[in-house]
Amino acid sequence: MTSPIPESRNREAVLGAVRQALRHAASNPAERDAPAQASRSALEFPARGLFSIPAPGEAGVQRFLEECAANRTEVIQIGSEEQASAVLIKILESVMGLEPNPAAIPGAGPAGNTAVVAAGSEGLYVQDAPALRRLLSPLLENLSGRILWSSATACEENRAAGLTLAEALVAQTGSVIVGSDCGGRAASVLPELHIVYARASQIAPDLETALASLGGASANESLFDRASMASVVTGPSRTADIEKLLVLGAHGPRRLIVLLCMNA
Amino acid sequence: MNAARQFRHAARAAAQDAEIAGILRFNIATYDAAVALGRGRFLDWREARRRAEAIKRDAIAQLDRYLEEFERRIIARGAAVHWAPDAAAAREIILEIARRHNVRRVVKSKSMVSEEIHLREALEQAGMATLETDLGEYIVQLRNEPPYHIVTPAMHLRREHIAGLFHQKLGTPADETSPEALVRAARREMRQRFVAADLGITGANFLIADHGLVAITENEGNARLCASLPPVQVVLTGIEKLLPRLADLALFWPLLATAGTGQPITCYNSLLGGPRRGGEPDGPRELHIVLLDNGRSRVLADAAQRELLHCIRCGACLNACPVFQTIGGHAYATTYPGPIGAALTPLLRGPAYDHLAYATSLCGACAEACPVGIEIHHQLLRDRAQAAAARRRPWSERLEIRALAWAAAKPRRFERAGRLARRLLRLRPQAIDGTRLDPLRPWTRYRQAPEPPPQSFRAWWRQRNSPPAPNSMAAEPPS
Ligand code: SF4
Repeated sequence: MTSPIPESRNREAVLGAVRQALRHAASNPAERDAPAQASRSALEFPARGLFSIPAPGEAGVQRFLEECAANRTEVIQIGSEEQASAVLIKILESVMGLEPNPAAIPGAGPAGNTAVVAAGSEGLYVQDAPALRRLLSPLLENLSGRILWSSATACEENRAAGLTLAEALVAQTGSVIVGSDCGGRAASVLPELHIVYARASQIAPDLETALASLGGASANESLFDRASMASVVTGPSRTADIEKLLVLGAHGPRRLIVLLCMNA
Repeated sequence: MNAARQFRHAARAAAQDAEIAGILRFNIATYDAAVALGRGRFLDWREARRRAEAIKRDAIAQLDRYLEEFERRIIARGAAVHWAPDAAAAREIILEIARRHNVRRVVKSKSMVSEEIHLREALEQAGMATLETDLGEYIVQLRNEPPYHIVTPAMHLRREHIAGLFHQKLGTPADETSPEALVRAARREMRQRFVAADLGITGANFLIADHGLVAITENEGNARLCASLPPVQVVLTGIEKLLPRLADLALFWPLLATAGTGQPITCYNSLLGGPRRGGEPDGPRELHIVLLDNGRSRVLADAAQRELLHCIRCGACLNACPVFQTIGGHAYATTYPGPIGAALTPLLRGPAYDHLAYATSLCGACAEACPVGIEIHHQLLRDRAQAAAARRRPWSERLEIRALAWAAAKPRRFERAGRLARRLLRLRPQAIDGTRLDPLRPWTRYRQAPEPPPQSFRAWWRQRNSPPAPNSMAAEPPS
């Protein structure tokens, strides 16, 4: 085929057919937006009143924890940044095949976790953000060479884990919202383990609120003006295509861990 | 053999397959239990359906405006939007994009629209290896058959079937039948193909007008991988997928999940705003959206039928349908099986599919299950009326209906005709039951001929309401 696609003609053909169909149908007085008009005011907030939604604050955190337990997201509540670093290294030890090296890190976290040296070949892919740089700083020496920062490269197939921040969390469904500005698109779906570092104050009570914050208060405050994609993630990847049996880790992460900072 | 005869044969064969019947029964029972729980999470499921219906009605009634708004906003972020009047145009648009990028390897996530236009076949014919990456779709692709169900493509298979298939195609151990191991094997196999792919193709569940977004719902993560790894991405979808506002998803995401699988919300609900932005480490350099008409605007032109375009492809009506439960998905030999397929296909593909409007008991279980409140059984009846009005029914049926209409026009006539029919039924020799000589064969072939009642319902009613005659017992209703 050498002739280019007659794109503009196609566009006019489809839109023209749609317009004509609508005019055609509109000549039938029973139809056209009458019913929609009637209910439009009620539809400003389509989900309102349809779900039980927690009050903001404590109840929201509680509900988030419950929903996560149900959808298999592992949530670890954290009091301080040092504690977060300590918990993180425990996780990395187990999934990346890191081995304890008592001599290496001075002043490692309160959990008494020890230094680590690389054992396997796989490493960690990390969204390059100040909060995560701080979180990893006590571990940097031991993980050196095993961290890929999102500012340097795309997430690779051999990463054992992806570590990112979140745009928001949703109490109603126990969801984590990640945008492509959280270390790119693959960081949260390609590795077997996705670790999210988030604050309890990021928990939105429901989807309605979370979607509104993604959309932004005005047109140019939308998340999509700084990120090309976002995903509402509710638990680890799954399938029930074989005999309706739940299997985790179909194509995406088999585990989703949220390190939830309770203060601030 | 024409489509109608083919359908009758396939339906008969499927209905007699006891193994399939067992598998379907198990699957649908599991689904039903999950959905009952899921609906319970809504404070008011009926109100949710009413709102969803009103939103879709608005979206469809102003489809032209919403389409243009969607187009304008997503183009502003660097995506390209293509319009395809029919299947051939859509295939050509996508092939052209693929040729321009020298594509050799394609990964696809689930898209019923791609089945509708036979996209995989077209890509493979053009020499591009094309992989279905949704696990269910992958399984049916390996088996070289179409999806059995629009949400659960491999619904008709037991794990032993899949284990055998994977043993043969992927070299897994012959006795490895644990779903975990099978999923792992498929994942490992497909990972390399993802990494090597030059083009990713996905469908869309919703297009969001007010923010210019493509919304994709999935559980596995393969659609996210299709949107993350290959350098070029195509989204192929129908023009009816519009929703006016981003806020609508707060209703439609839980609604689709509940009706589709019983989940409170599907694992991954992604929103695509455009191709990779400057500064992002990954994502496609080009994002192409292909909007397909392929008969949808024809359905739109009929105010009475256009509610069929509200469908969000959740699959609930398939599971609820006694016909689907009996004959399964393949017998329909259409892209969209079950009630919604039976109602839509004659409209999209023409009179050759009229027979599907008869593959229904008109019981309304589909409409009851439908999360956007489409009166599917009424639509099926309307399809029938259309076929009849266009004189597309066989002469024998037309004659029968005429005779019935004539007989039913006057009460006296109706009574006499009834008496005659009962007498004829009684005269019918038992010996011909179910044989080719039997005019009632379609019924008696699998069932006993009904015993003709001794009197008409009207006669029974008169008698029942008149003062009892001295020597009569309380009349029994005719069975
Ligand atoms: S017609 Fe209704 S029930 Fe059937 S697939 Fe479409 S939305 Fe679901």
